[in-house]
Amino acid sequence: MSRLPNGGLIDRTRTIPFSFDGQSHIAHPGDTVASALLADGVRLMGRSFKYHRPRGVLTAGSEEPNALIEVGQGAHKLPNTRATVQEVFAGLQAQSQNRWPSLRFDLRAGLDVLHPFLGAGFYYKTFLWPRSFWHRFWEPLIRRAAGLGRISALPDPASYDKAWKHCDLLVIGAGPAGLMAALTAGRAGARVVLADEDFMLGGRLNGEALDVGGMAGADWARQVVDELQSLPNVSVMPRTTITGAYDGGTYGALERVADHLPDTSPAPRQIFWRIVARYAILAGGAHERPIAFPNNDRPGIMLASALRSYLHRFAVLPARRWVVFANNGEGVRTAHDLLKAGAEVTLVDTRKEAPPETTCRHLPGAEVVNTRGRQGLKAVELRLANGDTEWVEAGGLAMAGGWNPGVHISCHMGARPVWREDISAFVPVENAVPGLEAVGAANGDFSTHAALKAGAEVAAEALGVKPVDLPKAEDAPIEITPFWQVKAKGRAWLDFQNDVTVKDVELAHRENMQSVEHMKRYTTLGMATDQGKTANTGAMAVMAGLTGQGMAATGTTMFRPPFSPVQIGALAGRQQGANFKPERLMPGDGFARAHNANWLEMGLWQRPSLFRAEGERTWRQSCDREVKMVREAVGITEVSTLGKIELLGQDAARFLDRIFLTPMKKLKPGHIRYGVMLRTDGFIMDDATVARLAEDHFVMHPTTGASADVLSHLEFCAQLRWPELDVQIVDASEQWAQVAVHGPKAAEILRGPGFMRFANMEIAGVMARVYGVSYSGEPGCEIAVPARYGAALLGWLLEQAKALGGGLYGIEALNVLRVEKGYITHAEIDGRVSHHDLGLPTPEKDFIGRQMAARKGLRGPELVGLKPVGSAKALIGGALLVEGEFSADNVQGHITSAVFSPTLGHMIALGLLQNGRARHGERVRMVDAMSGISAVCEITPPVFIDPKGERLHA
Amino acid sequence: MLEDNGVFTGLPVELGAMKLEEVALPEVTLIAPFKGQMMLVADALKQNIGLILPPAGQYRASARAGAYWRSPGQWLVFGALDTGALKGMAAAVDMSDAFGRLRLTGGREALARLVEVDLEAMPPGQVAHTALVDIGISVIATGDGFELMLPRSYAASAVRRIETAMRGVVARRLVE
Repeated sequence: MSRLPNGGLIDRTRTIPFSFDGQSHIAHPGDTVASALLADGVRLMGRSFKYHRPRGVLTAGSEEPNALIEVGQGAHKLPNTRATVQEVFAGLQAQSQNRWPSLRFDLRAGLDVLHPFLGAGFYYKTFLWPRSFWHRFWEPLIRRAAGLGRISALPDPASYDKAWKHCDLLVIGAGPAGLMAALTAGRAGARVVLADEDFMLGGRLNGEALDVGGMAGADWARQVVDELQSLPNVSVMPRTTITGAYDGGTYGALERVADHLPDTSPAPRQIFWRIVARYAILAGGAHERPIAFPNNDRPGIMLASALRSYLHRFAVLPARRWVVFANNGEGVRTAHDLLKAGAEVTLVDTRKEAPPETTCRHLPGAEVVNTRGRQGLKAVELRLANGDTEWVEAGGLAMAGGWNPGVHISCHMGARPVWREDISAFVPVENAVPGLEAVGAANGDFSTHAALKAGAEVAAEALGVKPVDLPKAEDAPIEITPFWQVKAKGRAWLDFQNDVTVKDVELAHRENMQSVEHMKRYTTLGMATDQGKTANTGAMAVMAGLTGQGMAATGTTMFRPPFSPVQIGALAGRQQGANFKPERLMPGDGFARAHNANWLEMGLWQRPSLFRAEGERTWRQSCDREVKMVREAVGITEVSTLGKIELLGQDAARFLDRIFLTPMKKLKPGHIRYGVMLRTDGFIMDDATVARLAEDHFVMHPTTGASADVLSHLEFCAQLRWPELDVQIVDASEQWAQVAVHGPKAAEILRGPGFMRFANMEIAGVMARVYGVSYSGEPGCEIAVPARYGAALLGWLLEQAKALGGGLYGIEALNVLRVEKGYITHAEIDGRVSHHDLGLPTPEKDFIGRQMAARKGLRGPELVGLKPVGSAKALIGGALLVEGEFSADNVQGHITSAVFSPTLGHMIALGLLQNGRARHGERVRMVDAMSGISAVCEITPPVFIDPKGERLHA
Repeated sequence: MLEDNGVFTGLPVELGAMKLEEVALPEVTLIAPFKGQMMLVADALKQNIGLILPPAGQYRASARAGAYWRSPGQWLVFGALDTGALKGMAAAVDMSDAFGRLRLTGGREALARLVEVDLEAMPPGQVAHTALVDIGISVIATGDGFELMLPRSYAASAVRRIETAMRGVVARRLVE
């Protein structure tokens, strides 16, 4: 048992059972999976990524590269969870990863023997012959072997929320610096958010035996947190990682609400916050560095600060005999803490000039050159200052290689940190993120006193308030002599997660991948879940030594959000599945649902595609029936999705005349005209009908899909192009429900104002706008009533239609009707089509797009009709039109819309074809290159029924 | 006479101290003064409904009417209005059916799941034109809660989003 009898910030009165790889263990509240396993004598927690070497825990925090576990069962399974972060809960089932068949016996550890052939970038140099083997054999094999962790591939059953928070001060990190900052701002009444990724706030204070204000640091921290939680203006957020800094003082934050609770908890599992802060203080502390020496990756070898955390916070002594390997004064602190816990210590200090230490065996100027103990550290080989070597028995080795300030957030907007020679560390650049300032260890000030002071003072200055009084605390200087790697035989690890050693960096250097960005990609150092937090600086130091450029010139790689992994579910929040986008429902939506509609999504709109009648099993049956019904009796369909844009004012006519290619100025009140609008590049933007209600009042109906763009276009023209025109534009699309009533018997329901005429009429007691337009080619009109009456209007019309043998129809039938009549949609005017292609004349007047539409190159394939001839009966939308053999050079056009016409008894299509207007009666082949289907077609005029429009003018 | 089919279904939603309910809309008119007519329009409205049109970001109410600025040169006016008095001076477009209006009380934390403006810092009478995630809305701070104006066709989706956020807040509190 490695649990110490006293101490720790755990609750020894309660126990929590959990399992790891099927073995039962006991933890206490306050334990992580890592601390509980160490307490139970378990040192082997994972296998390394490439070589499958046995690994134990390196750290006690979120930067952990080795102890990655799977937590949860079935669909709840989450891979790559850091055992150092995962709180234990009753019934937690954890599994190790990346090993087969077991953690203790992993067959793929054979790869370690092959390591001379598996160095950095080996895959660029092998698998080249035979060529066919790559796709069939190597690639699938590598794909199966590669990767870190496996997902369940089942739909994620957890729910996630997203939310916004606003504050005067965001404090990132609740160590001594952050607590003082939050206290200063909180007591002054400012809106404060204090976020820390840990579940227990206090930062390093919880992992050290340091006093603050005359009491244990952990106790002081708890007192401050209690006070902060009592202040209504302070939001204390534990388990919350600030993931990134973005524009405008906005920070991303991931709150792990329920990752420490059983899967059955009803709470959202995580909340992704956007926090908007006037000021932010980066008090996220620093990450300790390992030292590179041969076989420095065995279970039992960890960072010195991690060991101290296990001692003080979790009351765990992972082994009895220790070697402490340090290049700075913290080796002594570590040795003292170990001795107090009853361990035997050998202190190996790389600094020859280190002050002598008498409490334990002290070896200044010595180095660790090797280790033994594959499944767990057994012995350590030392090289003393005089060159002698000796083996020392040890179950634990603590590395103190110096500290890397957590600069990441400060670099998210593109800045690179600055090298400080005096502390051997990169520190944040001032003003790298507007409004953000780093304090404490995050800024290279490593003593507790410096952290407390900076936190209080920076918060006070930012908000213009008094800093709170400083409690007394230690103020020791860092005293580091840079030492990055031991020169000795054997592989020395730099990046534990990606299995990258000093040899790999040397290889990268030889291959001329010398810039740190190239080194990263070539060796994969600094990638994956820990993003090189314990690896980057050591590797940069090795490269700096090889290039001779020094650390400042070598620099760091680019830092990008997120700071630590974020589940995709948290980024999606509630906007998943059916809720991914909002729905827009027509006023008659409920009415249609009650009448057996099938539904189609058109953008955000839900529209009835057809209304299934008794006995109909295919969509074609319904569609064909509805088309016949409209052509022979009368059909009712809701068209409320159309844009309805009102233009008012004395210059409304002039304005529209410039917008449309079609002349509009002389349109008479009470009349309607169909027109097209061009883009400034001369192509057609949209078509629309324009009704003139009065001298200075127009209503425009652009197509459903384009109405938002058209409105933007109109606003741009009115506000910026022609601000001198007196016109007001109002989008009244939502105000009106609009229903189309068409067919030979439509007039028996309502006698409209006539073809292309407008009138205000009272219908069933309600004032309606009635437009004499037809999209089906049948006589009738569109009736607009205020939206509240839409459903009732449909009912009123349907009752009368039924009595005449008519009924409801949907957009499938509407589409057939309009193709029969040759009316176009954006299938025809797809953005590449000019008015010349449609056969429309160019008016004399000016209009948007006039200049560019005059270009010769804008005359392209022309609108035609098509019908199949011979035995092939099918026409396929999107199929290409060719003459003779199909080839890419031989394409003369394509089919834009193809439907079966029940009216004519065969398929018909509209299409765009080179020189189409001159080729009526000729033949052309349609080819669908994807399916291989082809058919011969006859080219016809683009209208199939009532070409002279006699039905409409009746 | 055709029946009036309401805007929302499934309301009110009450969860703990949070309540989401429909606010019945009076006549709603969009007023857009023509060039050089702003002063005349302002006078006419003052006489007609006793209201001075507010600047952007403010909701103003008189005994008979209320109004807020909607976009450059355009206001929404709530309440019976004699549009004849504005003839020739302004575009006056009936928009009584174009919107749904909701009132949310006790639900600021839920609304902050969906709306990115600083709700806590909005004094009563302030109007923010923003989005409910992906639905364009106007938010009016009333002092004891918020009122939301949204396009009619989005009514069901908006209620669904807000109700989900309310339930999420309740579920979150269970973990404390």
